[in-house]
Amino acid sequence: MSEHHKENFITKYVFTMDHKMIAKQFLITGMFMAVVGMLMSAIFRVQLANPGETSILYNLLPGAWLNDSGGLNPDKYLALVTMHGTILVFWVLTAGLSGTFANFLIPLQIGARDMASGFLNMLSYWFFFIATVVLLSSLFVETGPASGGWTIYPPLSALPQAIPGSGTGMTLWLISITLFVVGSLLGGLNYIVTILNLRTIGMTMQRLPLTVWALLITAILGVLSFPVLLSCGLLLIFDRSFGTSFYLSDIIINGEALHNEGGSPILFEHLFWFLGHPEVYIILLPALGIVSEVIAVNSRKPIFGYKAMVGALLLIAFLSFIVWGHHMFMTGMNPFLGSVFTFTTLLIAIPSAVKVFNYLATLWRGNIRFTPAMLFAIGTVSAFITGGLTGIILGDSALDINVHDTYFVVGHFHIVMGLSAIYGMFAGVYHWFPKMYGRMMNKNLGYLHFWGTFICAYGVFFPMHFLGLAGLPRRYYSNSAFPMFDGLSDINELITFFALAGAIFQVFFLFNFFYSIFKGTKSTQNPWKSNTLEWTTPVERIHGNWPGELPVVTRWAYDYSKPGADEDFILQTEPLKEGEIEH
Amino acid sequence: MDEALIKDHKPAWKGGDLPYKASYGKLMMWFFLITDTLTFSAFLASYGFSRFKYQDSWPVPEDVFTHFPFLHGDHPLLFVALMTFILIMSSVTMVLAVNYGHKMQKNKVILWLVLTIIGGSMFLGSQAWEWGHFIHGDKGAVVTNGSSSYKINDSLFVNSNLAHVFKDGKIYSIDNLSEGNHHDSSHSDDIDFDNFISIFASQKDLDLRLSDKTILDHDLAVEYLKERGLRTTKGADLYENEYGHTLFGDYFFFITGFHGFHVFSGVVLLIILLVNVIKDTYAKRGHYEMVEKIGLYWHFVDLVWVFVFTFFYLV
Amino acid sequence: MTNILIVVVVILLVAALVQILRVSELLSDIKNKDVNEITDEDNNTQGILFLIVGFGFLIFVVWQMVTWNHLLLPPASSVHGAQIDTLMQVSMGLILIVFFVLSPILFYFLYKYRGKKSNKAYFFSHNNKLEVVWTVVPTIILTTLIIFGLKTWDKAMNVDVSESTTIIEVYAQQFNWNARYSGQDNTLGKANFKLVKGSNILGVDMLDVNSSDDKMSREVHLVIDKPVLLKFRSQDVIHSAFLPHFRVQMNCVPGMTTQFGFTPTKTTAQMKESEGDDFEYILLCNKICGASHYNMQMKFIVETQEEYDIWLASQENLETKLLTQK
Repeated sequence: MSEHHKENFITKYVFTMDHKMIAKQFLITGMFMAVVGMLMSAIFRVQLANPGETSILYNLLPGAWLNDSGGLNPDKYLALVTMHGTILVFWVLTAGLSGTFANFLIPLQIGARDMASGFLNMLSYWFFFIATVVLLSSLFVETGPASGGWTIYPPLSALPQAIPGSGTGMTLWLISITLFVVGSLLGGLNYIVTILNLRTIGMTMQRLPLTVWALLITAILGVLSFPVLLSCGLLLIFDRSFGTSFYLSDIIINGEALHNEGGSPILFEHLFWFLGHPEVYIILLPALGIVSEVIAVNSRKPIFGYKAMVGALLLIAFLSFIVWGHHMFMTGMNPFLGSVFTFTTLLIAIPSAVKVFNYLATLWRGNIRFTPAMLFAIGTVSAFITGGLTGIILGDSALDINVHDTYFVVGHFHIVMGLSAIYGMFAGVYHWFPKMYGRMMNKNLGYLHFWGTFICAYGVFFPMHFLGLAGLPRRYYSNSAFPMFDGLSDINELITFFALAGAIFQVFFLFNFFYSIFKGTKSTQNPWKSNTLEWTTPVERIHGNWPGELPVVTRWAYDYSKPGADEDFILQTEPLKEGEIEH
Repeated sequence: MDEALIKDHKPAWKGGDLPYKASYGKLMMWFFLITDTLTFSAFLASYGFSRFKYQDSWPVPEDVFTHFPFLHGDHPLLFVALMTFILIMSSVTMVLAVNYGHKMQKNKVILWLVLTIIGGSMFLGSQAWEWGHFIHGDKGAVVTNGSSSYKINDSLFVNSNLAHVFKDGKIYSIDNLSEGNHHDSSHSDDIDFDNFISIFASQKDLDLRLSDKTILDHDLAVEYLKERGLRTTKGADLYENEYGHTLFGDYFFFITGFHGFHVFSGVVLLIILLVNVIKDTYAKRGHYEMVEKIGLYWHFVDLVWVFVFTFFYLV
Repeated sequence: MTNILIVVVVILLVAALVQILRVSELLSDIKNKDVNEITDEDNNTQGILFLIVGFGFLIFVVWQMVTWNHLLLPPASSVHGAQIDTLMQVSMGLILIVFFVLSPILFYFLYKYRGKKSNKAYFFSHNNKLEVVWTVVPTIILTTLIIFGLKTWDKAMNVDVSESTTIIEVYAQQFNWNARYSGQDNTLGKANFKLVKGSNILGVDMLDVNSSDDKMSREVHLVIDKPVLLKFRSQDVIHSAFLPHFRVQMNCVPGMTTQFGFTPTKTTAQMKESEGDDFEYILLCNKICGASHYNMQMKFIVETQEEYDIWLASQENLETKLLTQK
């Protein structure tokens, strides 16, 4: 599987089948898309702070998106919001997070030479790449990209007459997401099968690092929920282009009565959210898996409650399939259903809480080393507490009546996804950078990046809860149309200020990342003094990961500061001493 | 390997082994089939959702699928039963192919694979025939204005978009009510509707059955046609069909089409497989596992059809 | 021109950063230290920073609550809304307590257990009793909350349509709202999208006997303390009728009719006294529906029975309106 063959640039960097390189392909593409998505948010935040006025940032947009006085067109505001959501949810937090770390870590942490099928793995990236190209091409279409929100509810997303972006832009969106789903499924199949079949000798399921557990469960979630998005999208394609009535009925648009009868937009919502809810756990779980690893290593203590943590992951995954209706409380569905979904949604708070308590217990009486990765891991925990708690308000159907689709929701999901999950991604990058590139990222720039981001991000998203409780709806081009929202413009300006400042801090990260790839100080074998298998591979990285035999595992991943040991860490390959009991 | 190092674990899960005794390729096929199951389940669930909503105006499959090649008359669901039988038999031949693959008996594998391919192709051909007849239409229907309720009497209001000519408790072909107009087109806009109504009026044994299955006696039917009749329709497309609600046609084409696409890709895979068997690819490899993997896909396609057949045609 | 300037500035900034980094690396080389090693000093600084920034964040939260409290919606103007408000206060109270307990613990731990080379962590891998405790306690608290929540939801959703409930249709389209009163018979005439024509924006079936007394309106008047059932339809895409002051929200979906019933408890006049003279009850669209989604509004007015009767009498019957206007 890993004979050395003559490599050229193409086989090494482009059509590679090595999981480590594929991981980096996902990472770089994800980072690029993150910049695009973040620029979009900077632009629409500027619009919200100064509604109708022009801005220097608008120079980034095609001219047709602006009106005569240089202000942003309302439907293009919605286009930006839609594409921002699509890019960040799917491209950055799913492909960029899972794609990178599942590919990079799974073979290394289970002691395998590579993924089960390097070929399918390579295909999974190339489907993703083409999906990216198709999505970005929709930005340059004359009628604009998809503009119906990342949730693309029909009829709005089905009818170009309702909003221009629902024409060619939306078609390209659907093609792109189909390719994306295929790529994701190919990846997910690989991850699951590799973890089942390719664990090295001694690597039982109970000795797997929590990161691998999280990635396994995430892959299973994806395999079960993405197909439903595919179905949902296929039916929409037919409604848009072939005249079917799956989602459309009783419509008069631009004075014209459409022929469709019998369709239900609510059917779309059920299908969409059946994926949509597990999707947010597909985003969150890998981040939590990374955080478990980073916190344990940097507290020099085992992760507290390993079994409970695995159990919590499994319970969250199971429950995530039966809560989707909490996105639909206000659709007019049967109130009894609303009650059922409230019940299941509040249940899912319990394993989430258990995880937080376990993280706190891990920190307790630890000997905490504050690497930049650790800072971000802690950021994840803080954001998970903050954002998770507001979920309890939203999950309660009666309370959702007045906060549904307001900025309260926007604050909640940004804190749990935009902060919690992204911090997890940053933590992963900082922590495994030495393994990926054989060099260290600069520590001080890392500190600067963290504190700037942590402060600005809370500054952006916490105030949104107040906007929501004041009744301000989301996806509003401006709040200037309603006198009742006049008092909120100060908050909007404050949020925009923090958003732009936060965006600037990301430059330090990007700079640090790319500079360190080429000029960073060379890494040692095991810079974080971690137990897991990836740190037993050579710093320079080879195909097949280990030069000789595969490692043999003799203990779990969390023997940090074990009494009786010489050092405060013990590699998983270290045989048990005389009289030593395995944990 | 020191077994003492692994306490309380099932031996196959200790790492360095295959917990499900299956190669990665086979496992991947199983997991892929799980994803495909979910795709089809989503479609069938959507179908259930829509059909439940419109159960009143949903056609009865026995009234719709009555044709059999080369036979005249009505043979409700006979053809689709034959199709199902053929597909199931092709799964049986597939099992035999896999079996002989385990025994490394190349010629027997070829035989049973060829039979499977023939079975699959016959199913596809049959499905195409079924589609053709569905699209062409059978007895036709009348499109009516259902935008507001129509008063039959003080206690009965009806609201119907589609109606069928009824005689002796069965649907009666609209071809019999048009002079010399044999329409092949789907919508029959070219039929003279006033003429149609007068022929209907003259045949006193004809009734009208509305989409909610209410039957209007001849005189009431004539009134209704004059007030609310718009035109006749024949055949089916994604916009409209003569059998009942629009969605009946939409789901028929979509679900059987998606399934048919899977059968087609399965046949293609089987042909590629056959070529490789003949070329000794698997003989050289030492195992016929690929036959087994494609076999899994073929059984899946068969199983999906059982569900489609049940929920679409039987229930 | 500005664009070129911006690009130049960015390039210079990047170049400056590169130089700073190179200098710091060289300095560490000279001192024979690893520039990226995490020292006790680093741990000390970061630990203290977490304490300061962490508690600073908590103070920022309190500041927001105090400063922006007056911007939040006034207490609910409906019966079920008052119950929702109570549930909201309890739930918020609960999550704020948890937030203000867990967050300080987190930040404090980071400070107290900041690493020193001479320290050793305590190998404490699990404790089943703790797991049980912190599973069962949240379960009990959340179950109580759920029960409370479901009762409130039930009251909000299950409307007792009695004789005195006024039925009003609210019709959404890109980008305005129309209301239709059901008149004396309190029954809305049937409607169908195929009947939309000219002034009959809602596609009301004028042959339906119930339609004859229906009245159209561009604003909604309600009587204080009298239950009303709003029925929602949409002409084109999904909209959502959001009446924040009444704690009412319901999607308007083309192809189906949804509804929400409530009883207003404060007149517009009363609200103007407490909230200011420019207060109005307002209906907004709360589901992305196109370019002017942000500007789809209709006024709601709650008044006394007498004022309402006068207003209603002045509204034209739909039948008459359609006959006179082509």
